[in-house]
Amino acid sequence: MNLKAFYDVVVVGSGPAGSMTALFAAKNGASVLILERDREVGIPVRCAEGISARGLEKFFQPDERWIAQKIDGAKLYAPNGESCIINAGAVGDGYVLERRLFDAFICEEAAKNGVDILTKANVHDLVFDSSKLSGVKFTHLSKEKQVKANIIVGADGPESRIGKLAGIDTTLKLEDIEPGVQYLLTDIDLEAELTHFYFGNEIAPGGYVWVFPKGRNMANVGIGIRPDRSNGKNAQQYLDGFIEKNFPDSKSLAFIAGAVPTAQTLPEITRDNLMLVGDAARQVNPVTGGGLSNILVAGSIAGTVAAEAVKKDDFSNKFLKKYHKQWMKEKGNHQKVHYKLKQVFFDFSDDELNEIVGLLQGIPQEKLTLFQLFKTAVRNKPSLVKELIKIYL
Amino acid sequence: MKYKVIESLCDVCACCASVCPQNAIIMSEQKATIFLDICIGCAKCFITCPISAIEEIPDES
Ligand SMILES: Cc1cc2nc3c(=O)[nH]c(=O)nc-3n(C[C@H](O)[C@H](O)[C@H](O)COP(=O)(O)OP(=O)(O)OC[C@H]3O[C@@H](n4cnc5c(N)ncnc54)[C@H](O)[C@@H]3O)c2cc1C
Ligand code: SF4
Ligand code: SF4
Repeated sequence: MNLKAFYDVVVVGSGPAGSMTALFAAKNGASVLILERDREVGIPVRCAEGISARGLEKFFQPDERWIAQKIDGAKLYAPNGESCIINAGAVGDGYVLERRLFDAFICEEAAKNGVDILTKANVHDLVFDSSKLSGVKFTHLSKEKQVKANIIVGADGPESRIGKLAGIDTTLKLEDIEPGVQYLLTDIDLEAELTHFYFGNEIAPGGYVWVFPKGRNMANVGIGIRPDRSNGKNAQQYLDGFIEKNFPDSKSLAFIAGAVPTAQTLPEITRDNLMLVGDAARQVNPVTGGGLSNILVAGSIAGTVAAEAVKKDDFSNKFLKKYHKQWMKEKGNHQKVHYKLKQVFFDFSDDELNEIVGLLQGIPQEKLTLFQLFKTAVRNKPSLVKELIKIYL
Repeated sequence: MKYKVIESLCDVCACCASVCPQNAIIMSEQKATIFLDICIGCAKCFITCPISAIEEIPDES
């Protein structure tokens, strides 16, 4: 493939953040290149692959090529084994994706709109002309290369190295990361149309275990924990203990480790000639660890603003900040409330978790929404309940 | 105490690089690498690695 020496926009990372930004920038007239370190878009899949129907359908019609399982509710398990099912309202509705194919699909859409994509391209430095950010340096098949651009997009995932290279402190505090691992297991006999969440300080301190069915008795079974509460055990040891107890006869088809940033959006996600998007900008929902629906929104805004910048020939931080402002309006301010919720939710003792699920069992199932769950969990914090009402009702 | 990555175990998840306050950890497609000259031995990477692919380097002496 012939790369140009200059693009309007160079995107680092081909995950959903990078591909959505590229797609929307290109659709609106910008020339775009995506650089991806791995050998293939979409692989490896470091994700449980769940997304709400609302989050997905805002941008894409569900396509059987990349949907593994339709979901119509979530089952929560307390430490004592009691459970409740949340499937009322729009929140219960969702999908477990085949993310390898979903990621490739968005990249294909981007390519159809003229985006160039180069894999095996590891970006390791930024290029500055005097002090103006003007490109990136990368290694491609052991060769040193560089490409120039008016806008560099750091969509490089949890590591967020592009931000660091540009001088933004992207380091995650230990309370704001969930190191995770996940198996793809066969012979899992659970309700396939539900996602399953297991809570408890012995099961997953500061996090939870998830079982997301993928059809044909297969499921993503994973865990995220708080590293500062792990009592000397790693995430894999917690998960192995859980599987041995709950699915002793299952077999593993795949294993991955991954990082979930459960922080708030960085105070700075743009600078002159620079935008950060997705996990790199810390845009995940800090309670659930779900990034996809937020990131589709963030990428669409970032790409649109990038293309506007190209049209106006204005790549200043002042202009690019439009993206930050609009993100905060659409999702970022909700994320702030979810962050407060996270701080309360993952501090519960096992007794309190048992009590919460007990209370939820008392609510008729047709009324049990995610909002009811959160409201019940923070019932002793009226100010937080008020903030939740604002974003959920 | 400083730390090093056990390369044969590393799954390239970037947990360690995300928490290192020194930016002392660089990811490639195959592995994480800790640059010892800037590592301050805070152990954050060590306790964050989900599969214990980081180990202590015994002090010389
Ligand atoms: C175990 C686990 C389970 C999860 N489950 C869910 C879930 O069920 N639902 C949900 O919504 N979210 C989930 N998430 C979160 C979700 O996976 C992320 O929010 C999402 O993948 C982030 O997308 P992204 O595009 O920002 O980053 P990524 O998908 O991480 O993509 C970043 C890309 O950048 C590339 N890259 C990095 N550095 C460079 C470089 N220097 N040069 C070139 N390329 C580079 C990487 O190779 C990668 O392809 C989960 C996360 C984990 C770890
Ligand atoms: S946290 Fe562990 S597995 Fe993940 S990249 Fe670092 S050393 Fe490798
Ligand atoms: S010990 Fe601390 S400073 Fe050294 S590499 Fe690990 S996180 Fe970075």
